[in-house]
Amino acid sequence: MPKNKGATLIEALIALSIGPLLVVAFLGAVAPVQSLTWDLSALHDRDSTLCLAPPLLCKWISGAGNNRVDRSTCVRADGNILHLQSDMDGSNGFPDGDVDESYESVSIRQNGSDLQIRSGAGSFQPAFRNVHSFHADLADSRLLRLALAADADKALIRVPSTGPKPITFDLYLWNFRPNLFGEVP
Amino acid sequence: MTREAGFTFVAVMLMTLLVLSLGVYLCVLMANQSHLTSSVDSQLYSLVLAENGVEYARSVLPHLDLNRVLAGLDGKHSGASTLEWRNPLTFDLARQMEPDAWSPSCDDGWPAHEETLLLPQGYPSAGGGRFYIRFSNNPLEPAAEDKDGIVLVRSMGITGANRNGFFHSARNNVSLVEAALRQERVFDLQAALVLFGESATFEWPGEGFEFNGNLNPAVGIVGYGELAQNLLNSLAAGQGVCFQGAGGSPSMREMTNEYLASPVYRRVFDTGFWEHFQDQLPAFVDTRLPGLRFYPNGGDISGSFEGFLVARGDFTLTEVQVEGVILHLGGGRLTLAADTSVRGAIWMSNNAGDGSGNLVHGPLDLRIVGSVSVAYDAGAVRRSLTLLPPTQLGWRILFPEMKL
Repeated sequence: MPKNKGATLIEALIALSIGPLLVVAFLGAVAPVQSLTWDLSALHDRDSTLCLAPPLLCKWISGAGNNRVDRSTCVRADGNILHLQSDMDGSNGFPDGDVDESYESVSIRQNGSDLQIRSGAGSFQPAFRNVHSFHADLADSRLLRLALAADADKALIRVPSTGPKPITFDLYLWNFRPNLFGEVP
Repeated sequence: MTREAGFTFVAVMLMTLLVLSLGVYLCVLMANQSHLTSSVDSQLYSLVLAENGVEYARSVLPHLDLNRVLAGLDGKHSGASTLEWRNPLTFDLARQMEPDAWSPSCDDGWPAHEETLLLPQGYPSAGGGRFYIRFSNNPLEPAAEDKDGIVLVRSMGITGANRNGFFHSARNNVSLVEAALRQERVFDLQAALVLFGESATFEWPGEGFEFNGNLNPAVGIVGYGELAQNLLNSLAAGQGVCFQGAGGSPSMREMTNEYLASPVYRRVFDTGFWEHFQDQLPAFVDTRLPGLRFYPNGGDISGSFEGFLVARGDFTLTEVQVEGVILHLGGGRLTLAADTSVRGAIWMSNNAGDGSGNLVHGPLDLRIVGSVSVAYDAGAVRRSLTLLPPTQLGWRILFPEMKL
């Protein structure tokens, strides 16, 4: 047996004893990065909601929130649900008396930490996560004020929590603008 | 080199590959998020552009000759046979077109001024977006013949596709908005003095005044009652010649049937028309010249004015030069005193609802003192009408899957 075989055994033993130390050291170095990544991911999800919700809600609400005929039923709040209905799809572009198309009827509600949307006769589907609160202010008939707050949906490990982050935005409802002359043709 | 060294090399290569793969994955993820966000932004921007197009249409509509716009500069409507004929562009074309290279093949409904299309290549905006607008007649009338002043305007907002880079896209973002607008011509008066009511009190001491209708009558009478007789009875001998214009002397025409037959003018018989107009008027007045002024409690004014002058109650104009339209809505006397001249027309009415939808007329009261001239000028009347904002009868977003 060559003399260097014993050296290999010693090397292996040393490697086995140092290896776990290296692994522990590596994990020790990586763990803070991992927890920081975890926190950043949670905050990114929260901010994504705050960033994407206004433009998408603008688009959905602008479509369904401008009734051509009966304004009283167009935008209304029923409990925690915001209903928007517009009869805008009839022959030659004028009302046909129903709101059965998906873009003619939109409802929005908060359910748990989800902001859910229902279009047409379908069921509520989650649209945005991490929603802490949602409120629609209908006091001004021309201006729909929406207040949304989003929070991280996971407990943060390293970053101190600052609580829900709010955002408020106004939507101008074009069919509710005042006219100098009456709208009866 | 030993065999262990080769293993280390492979291990290092694998680790490097792993780290690089993770980096590339993260880069793609971030780029994808960025693309998604910019795509949502671009869609929303196209919607905002389309909304701006409707506002542009609102601003130019009062100045347009609607029948001329509907027929286009060639004076010939190309028909309403294609599915999306009311749109400035079809959705398919809008998604694929290069805005810089495109121009409309049909001028029907495209706004024009003095034989030139206003927006043949759309209205360019920051960021490379554009909007295109097109007018079409409301569906209750023939495509090229407007009588009621109601038109549809469709505005298409287009934001350019990203045709470069990793996330290449060949499609533009497109939004289409439609508004039903009415050009307000109800006060496009056809006589120097138009009286709407049933009875009136007139005072014109002296002969130093003149109502001149030019090719139109000096006085137009709207309503069933004794207005015409009241006017004739109030004139002293020789004062008939103070009313010059079409017809006899004094120049006067009964216009009630014309008003009832017109989809534009007959609204003055609706009590809701007057209630709405007077309720909303304070919110629409401005102080510019030419402008829209409202004196709800009457008053005395002097100087010069251009535009649309509305008053209630006792209202006296002394040494005033008016170019445009005067509306006196009753509740008192309208007095035109020394050296006052009006180039345009005057409307007088005094009515209110009786609570059950009927219009009740009170007596009109007009006093002319001294040297007063009222000369009908259709151009001045039309110019003052351009100060009245169009009425928006509807607004909606159109999607490709809708009945266009």
